[in-house]
Amino acid sequence: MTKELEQRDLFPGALEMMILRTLKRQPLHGYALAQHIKRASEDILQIDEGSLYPALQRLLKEELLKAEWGISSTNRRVRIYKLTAKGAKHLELEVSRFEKMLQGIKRVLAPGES
Amino acid sequence: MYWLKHLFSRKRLYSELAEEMREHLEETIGELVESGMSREEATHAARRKFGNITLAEEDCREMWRWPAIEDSFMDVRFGARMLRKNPGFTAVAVVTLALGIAVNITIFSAVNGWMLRRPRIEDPARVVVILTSDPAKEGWGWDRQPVSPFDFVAWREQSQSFEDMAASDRDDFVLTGGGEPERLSGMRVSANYFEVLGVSAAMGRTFLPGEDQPGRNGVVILSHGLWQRRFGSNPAVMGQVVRLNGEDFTVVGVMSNGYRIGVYGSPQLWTPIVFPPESLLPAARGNRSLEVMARLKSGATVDTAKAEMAALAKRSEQAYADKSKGIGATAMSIQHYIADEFGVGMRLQMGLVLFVLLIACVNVANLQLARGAERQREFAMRAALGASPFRMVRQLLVESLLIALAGGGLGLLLACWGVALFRTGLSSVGDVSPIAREVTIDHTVMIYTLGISALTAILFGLAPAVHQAQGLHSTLKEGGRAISQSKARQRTQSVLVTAEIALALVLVIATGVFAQEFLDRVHTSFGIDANQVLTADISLSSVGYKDPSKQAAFFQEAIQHLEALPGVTSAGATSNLPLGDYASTVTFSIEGRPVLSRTERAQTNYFAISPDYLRTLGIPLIRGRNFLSSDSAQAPPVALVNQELVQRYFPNEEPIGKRIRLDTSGLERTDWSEIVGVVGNVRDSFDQRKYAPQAYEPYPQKLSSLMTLVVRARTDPGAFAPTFRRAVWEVDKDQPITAVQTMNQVMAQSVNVTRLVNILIGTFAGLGLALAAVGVFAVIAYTVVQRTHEIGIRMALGARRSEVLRMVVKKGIVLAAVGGGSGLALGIPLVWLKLGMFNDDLLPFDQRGPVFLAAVFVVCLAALVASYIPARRATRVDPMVALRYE
Repeated sequence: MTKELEQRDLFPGALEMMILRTLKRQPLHGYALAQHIKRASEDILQIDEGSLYPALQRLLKEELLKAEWGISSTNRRVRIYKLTAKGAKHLELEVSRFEKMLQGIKRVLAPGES
Repeated sequence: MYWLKHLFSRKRLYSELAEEMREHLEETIGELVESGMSREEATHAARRKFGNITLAEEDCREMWRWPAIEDSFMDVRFGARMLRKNPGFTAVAVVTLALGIAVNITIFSAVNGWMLRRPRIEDPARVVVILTSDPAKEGWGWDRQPVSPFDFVAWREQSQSFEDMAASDRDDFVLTGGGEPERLSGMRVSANYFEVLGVSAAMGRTFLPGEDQPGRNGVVILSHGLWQRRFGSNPAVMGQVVRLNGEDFTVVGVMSNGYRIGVYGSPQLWTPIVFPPESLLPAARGNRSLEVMARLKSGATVDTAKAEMAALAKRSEQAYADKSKGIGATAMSIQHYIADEFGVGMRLQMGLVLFVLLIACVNVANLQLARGAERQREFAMRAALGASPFRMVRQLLVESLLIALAGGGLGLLLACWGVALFRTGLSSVGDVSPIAREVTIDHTVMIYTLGISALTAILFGLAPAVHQAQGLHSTLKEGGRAISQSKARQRTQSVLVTAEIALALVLVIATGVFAQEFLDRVHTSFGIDANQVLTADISLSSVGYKDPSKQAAFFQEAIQHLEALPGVTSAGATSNLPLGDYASTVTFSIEGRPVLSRTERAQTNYFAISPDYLRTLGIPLIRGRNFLSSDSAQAPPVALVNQELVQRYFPNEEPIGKRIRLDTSGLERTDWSEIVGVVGNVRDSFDQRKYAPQAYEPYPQKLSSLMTLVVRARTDPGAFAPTFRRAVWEVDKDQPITAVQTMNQVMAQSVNVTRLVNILIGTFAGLGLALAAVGVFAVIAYTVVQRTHEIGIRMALGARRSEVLRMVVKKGIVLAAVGGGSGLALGIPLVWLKLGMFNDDLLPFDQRGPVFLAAVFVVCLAALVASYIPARRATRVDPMVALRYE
């Protein structure tokens, strides 16, 4: 129940989408992923780093990601997440859906036309 | 199936998650320290950035769970723990249920083996049995009559609904050569019989088309049992010639082990049937003996077949009006037909065992209620911690299910034993012994066990569970002794116990009624003096006795040989032995009365006897004369009748000198037989209490190739058997002698089936009564425990022990009275309405009074004893202890 509260700050599925998008560029481990998202959003999005992990588990379970133990650049034993083919397809779908939704919202919010 | 894999490797998964997050924090801390923070500060900052670690971890774990199932696992684990913690309750509940379930499984395995299992033929759903109905026949089975050869041939040709139609007829065969001569029950079948059924031989072949034509019919198929027993399982028997009834038959096949259709369908051999030309004349249409089966054409259904058979019968009725008035025909699916043969009896047993199970369920429900009182606080606590009522009901139902499954498992074990006992019981009954081994515990029975266990769980678990969940709110507030709650609980318990007593009473009434019928039959005179009488069956079907005069000569000589033996008082022969396996009923006409068609004529039991038969069995001659040796085939035909026949058909007349005509064959007889004497009544089966009309003719005038010899000895007739055989073999050394037994044994056998039924019903009633008594005991005992405090106060205030005793026992009396009343209200109509289905010759209803009284007495006594024991305990309550009791 709590996890949904946290995500309501964004919207359901947003965090997952960002994770998929980030991992599409390159496989990363949890910490690096958090840093990437923070940097990419230029600190506009405030995410608890902890909430990243349930989202990662969900994506793993749905087989959109896979994970392998490896050694990070800072020489730590970390789990590196990678996008699967299914994940890539899912991302495309989600992004196009999101863009459509965004357009819709923009139209409604556009001034002067009502 | 990713999640499934993880369901089992979750421990590792969770520790990996924890490690991963720890690393994440470490990495953050490391970076912050590098940027100049102190380690302590960095740790705090990292934690802040990460958020709630425990929550994140929990959320992650949740991702991998399947909540509905895992909660159930938890319920099961918890339930099992609760049951282990309370072994006394668990044991009593499980054993109670196991008993109830075991009797159900035992009876169901018979129902399954006989009625539900598909017959071992190809596509049984497409096979129907063709039956004729004869309104003139009395009682059950009038619409289950066989078919005459004449109709079979006609209908086979005319019908459109069937691929083909096959006929079979039971017959006895005498096998000679290679060992003692032996009489075997066999079946004559049309050549297409096995093809219609879609059954092939285990070895060799079945019959070929045309093998049921005269001259080509010298072929035989052996049953697996006969092949094993008589031919030592030797495959070389194929193609060999065996002698049956003095003729040569070539063995062409052996059927597979256990091949059987219907109740009595376990022949030891099959030969082709050849219809003698006279049986195909319209006049022989009344001679119905064939069991006819047919396979439906594609497109035809049982219903269309039914309609067509009805139309065909109508057509025959119009064509041969004098021979077939009122005779109809119908089709019935073979499985329905087989199930019907067992129908009434098995339904009765199923009903009774269901009562036992209900009583067991009520008992366990009561135990649950009592235990629920003790667990009140546990559940109140769970409710306070946020458990939903649904979740708690589920928890309780899961516990019930665990008890029920344990009970079902134990019940299955007990049922293995029960089935073995049941089979032993059946094997002792000649008629049904072949089907005993089909009572087995197979996978259908297992599934039934599972189903019935689950059902009982709901039956005994739901009410207590709902009770528990409803009464939650008051409990914590009351802080201890939940008085109002326990009132409602006690009310439910009382209702349940009342129901239990009522159910037990119905069972006891059923037992009483059956026992009453049984005893009445035992004590009604059989009309014969069975002591010191030895009997044996002789079948003269072999070829040497084709000539009737030779048969007569054989019996005459055999009787002479037997009479000449030292120690023999008299010897005789009869075509049918009263209480024996074969009974013969014929229609008859009285000279000078209006001529009736065959179906309208009166019926009588029929016996062809030798002159000394009546004396040998001790049947008294009331008036007139006995048969004499001068009543030969050439002499004018004569007959004897019993008192019952006189009473029914010559009420105010002198029967002696009147003439009757007995229809002893399919063809009309032209000769009348003069009644020369009146003899005593003889009961002809154990189940019939009333005497039936009986008529006798001298055997030389009406020969039967199958006779029973009876001998009255001066000493023990059992020891006399070898001498008996030798005397017969002196006449013909190849003559098989079967069923050598004393008349007392014959009578005992006729009692067997009924006795088995009585034992079964008695067992069920005993079990039900015991369970009900335990139930009463438990409830009263529980009341006493609940009221210990109150009783203590009463006694402290000066109540005497006898008063306390009375107070507690009073509750038992009220329960017994209400339960007994409703039991009577339930039981009497059941007995009245339903018992008639089982047997149409019952005691009049007004004689049942003593049985009902006795049943009520037994049940109430059991209830009283069950409440007296805990009541005694109540009087021993020490006021000091009771007042401190919390």
